[in-house]
Amino acid sequence: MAEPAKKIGGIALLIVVLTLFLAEVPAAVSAGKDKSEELDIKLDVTVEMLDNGMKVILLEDHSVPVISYQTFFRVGSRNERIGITGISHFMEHMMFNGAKKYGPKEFDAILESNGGYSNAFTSNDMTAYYEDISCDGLELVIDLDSDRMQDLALDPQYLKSEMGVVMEERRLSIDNSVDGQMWEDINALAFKAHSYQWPVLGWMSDLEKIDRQDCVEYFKTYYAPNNAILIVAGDFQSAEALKLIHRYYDDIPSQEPPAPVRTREPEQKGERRAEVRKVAELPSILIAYHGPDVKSQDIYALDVLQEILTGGRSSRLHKKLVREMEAVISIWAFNPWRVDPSLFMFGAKIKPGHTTEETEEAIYQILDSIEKEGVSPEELERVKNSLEADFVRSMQTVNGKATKIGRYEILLGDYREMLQVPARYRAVTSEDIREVARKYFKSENRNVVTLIPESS
Amino acid sequence: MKRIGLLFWVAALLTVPRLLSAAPKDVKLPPYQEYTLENGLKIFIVETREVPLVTMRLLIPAGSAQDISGREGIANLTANTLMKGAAGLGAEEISEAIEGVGGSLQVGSGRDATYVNGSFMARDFSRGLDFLAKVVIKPDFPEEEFTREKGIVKAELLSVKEEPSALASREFVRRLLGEHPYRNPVDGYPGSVESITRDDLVRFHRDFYRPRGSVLAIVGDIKAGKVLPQVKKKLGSWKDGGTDVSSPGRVTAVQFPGRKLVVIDKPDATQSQIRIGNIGVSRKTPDHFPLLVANNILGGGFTSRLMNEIRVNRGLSYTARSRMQRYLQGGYFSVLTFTKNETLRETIDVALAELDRIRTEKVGTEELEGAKMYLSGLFPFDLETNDDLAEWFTDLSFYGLDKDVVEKYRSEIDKITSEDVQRVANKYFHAGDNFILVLTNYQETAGQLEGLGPVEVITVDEVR
Repeated sequence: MAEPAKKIGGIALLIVVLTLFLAEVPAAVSAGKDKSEELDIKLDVTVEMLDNGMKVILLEDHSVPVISYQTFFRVGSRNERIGITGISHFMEHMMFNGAKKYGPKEFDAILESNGGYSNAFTSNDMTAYYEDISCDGLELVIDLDSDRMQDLALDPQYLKSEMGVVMEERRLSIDNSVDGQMWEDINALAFKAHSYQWPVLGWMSDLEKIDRQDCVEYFKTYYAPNNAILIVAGDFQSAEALKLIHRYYDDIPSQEPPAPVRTREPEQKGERRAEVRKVAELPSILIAYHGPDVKSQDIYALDVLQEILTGGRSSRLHKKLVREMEAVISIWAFNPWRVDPSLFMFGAKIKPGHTTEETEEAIYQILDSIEKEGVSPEELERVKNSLEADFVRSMQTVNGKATKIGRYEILLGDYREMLQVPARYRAVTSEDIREVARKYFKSENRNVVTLIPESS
Repeated sequence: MKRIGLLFWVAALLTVPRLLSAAPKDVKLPPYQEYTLENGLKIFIVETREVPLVTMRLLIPAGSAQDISGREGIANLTANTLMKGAAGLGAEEISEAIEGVGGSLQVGSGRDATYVNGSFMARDFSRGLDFLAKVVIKPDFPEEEFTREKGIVKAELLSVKEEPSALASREFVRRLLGEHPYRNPVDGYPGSVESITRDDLVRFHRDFYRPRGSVLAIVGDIKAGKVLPQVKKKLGSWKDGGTDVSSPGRVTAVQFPGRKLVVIDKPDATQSQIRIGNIGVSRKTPDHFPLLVANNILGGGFTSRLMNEIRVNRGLSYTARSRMQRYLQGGYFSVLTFTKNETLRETIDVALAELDRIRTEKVGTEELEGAKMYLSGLFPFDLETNDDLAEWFTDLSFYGLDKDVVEKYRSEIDKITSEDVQRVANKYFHAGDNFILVLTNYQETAGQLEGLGPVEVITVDEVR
């Protein structure tokens, strides 16, 4: 359905209008009526590649007079090495601490005093920035964002104070958090070679030593335009936006592409277990199996399986562990979409009088029964409906749409993949689910971290 | 590299062109239809066409403020058990019918109200409404389900003690609000939840789940003409009980002359949680707009004074913010931040100095205008989704607010002067008589806390 159209200034400009029609949706539970209705989401998208390698994706949506301006960089903790762990996330912070035209504090001050809001996030695979602002703020955010992409100041005074901020963030979400500590430990346990082993926030001892030179090099390589994707969504005219984007970004030089991440995690040869002893009230458990990378077709069957296992009150593990056994307060499963092979994870907080052992046992039994018997058509229908509704919900705001485009660009290399996803969920069969369960949920591929509560 | 002195900084800011130099135009609510059923239920219906979804939000004046003393947590447990059996249907039948079509129906409680939030594909509106009506009007409160929910809440309350931030905030509010029922956490205390019986839930539902005073908003890709008859059919039979709901009374002023300091001692903490505050004001107040501006300057966005002084200039914390928490009958003001144990006192002192400064010094034009533009500029994002609109419509009605709170938002914000800011700062941001709560490793930080006022130290286990 992608239709190449006109050219602007010699550079191919794709105007793509994507329409998504989802198949008939029968009712999952009795009631019987739900007639066929199409899910029709139109995206009015323009894509352009600048000469310096920056990809620009524009999505016009005139429903509210606002824009969301987002820059995604192909860099995350995955690209780090021991000694500078946490630098990706630290750089995310430093991007708010001054560039050439706009000095320290000015980015936020100017943006906020013009009615805008900005934030950013860093993950294992990507670093993303956004500004949400009234539609007449487009040139302002282009100016602010191109300035920091071109000439980040990395002022020593702010390097120092910002590192203090990041250390507090680490103390808050890992060192003084039961869940955060367990999360850090399970990744360190499951990966012995790949950079997914360390936390996005980095090790404290690396944070203490990261210096300005590390940041300068990191910025030069990873914040180059050829490593970035710019997405603008909202109430603006694409042709006009493109002119502005060219004016502000064309002079930013491209750089040598970053070195690829070479390390592959070797196959795990046996179950690994670890304990965390920490002051806590309730036992807790995390279980992680090595899974596929995001480009594997298995990812969709695993998403469906994740919903069947822990999506909502009708899910298998909720019914078993929360309702029938009354062993846990809550249970979740997580199938992260990551560039390199990642972990399919389970987590549960155990009620007093119950144990992590019985919880583990129950989870393995259910995984076993799915491997043997598959899942019912009703379950399959329920979770497909839920995944479809969640997809629609994620498209309600301009910010949500732009974020989705950015994520798909980084993870799958093409935002248009997102429109295939509902159909890919629809295509998943019970047999596919049995197959991924057999393939990944093997005891020799398993990592378990249990929390042993200590009293204060 | 380059250092920018304060003067340069101010000058640079002055040269920044303001995009939206005039006051931005007011934002209107979308067209809506308003009805009141014979039983007193208020209804708002809003047609939107952006996505094929519909949101339903029902607010019922059955919040934790109506809990029985000693059995705090009834409203919450009632809400949690509502979906676990209604009109003869079992918990799993209900959840499967809703989740089977990708819908969701969530029930929860706050201090003033219990809410039921539904989100469905628009084509499933009738099913969503049917279940909303069933669980609200005809819950069965099966004994087994009640016992299970109670067990979950009790365990969750234990796990709160593992979370320094949540623990500090709960104890801060409990001690700040004197004897007012707002002081109690919505989910209660381990002991109080233990004493709740199924009969308490049945009685709570009978007394407080009533159409009069409740408000329902339906927002989405629906037609009002089609929806209203269905609402009348499903919710018209909701009987209005006879007794009047008693008000919990206003939050009364509490003074902490010369300050009061409570320390929760957590010996394994490497980071200290800080809360500072005093009582505030209710949702409906003539000070609404000046307070929005004043609070934004003090502790709102990334450029607020607290963020600037605590985070940006000194690197003491990841977050520093202030907040006016406002309910029907009053509320409280609080400053929230945290820092490593070594810099606990420095951080408290910086926060107190900022509280003092906004009261004593008049805010400058640049800062004032910047805060106003920030609030006005972002306001359309508060009205973007069906969920946002449903929340506005139910809140405006429930809290008795004029729709000008939305539709004159920008022009009212534009009128605020530095005198207004100083006036409300003096009224609500207390200086010398604040209540301070700190969660810290006291053995490490006791010396730092001297001179802040009388100190009471409790252990984590002593927190109620």
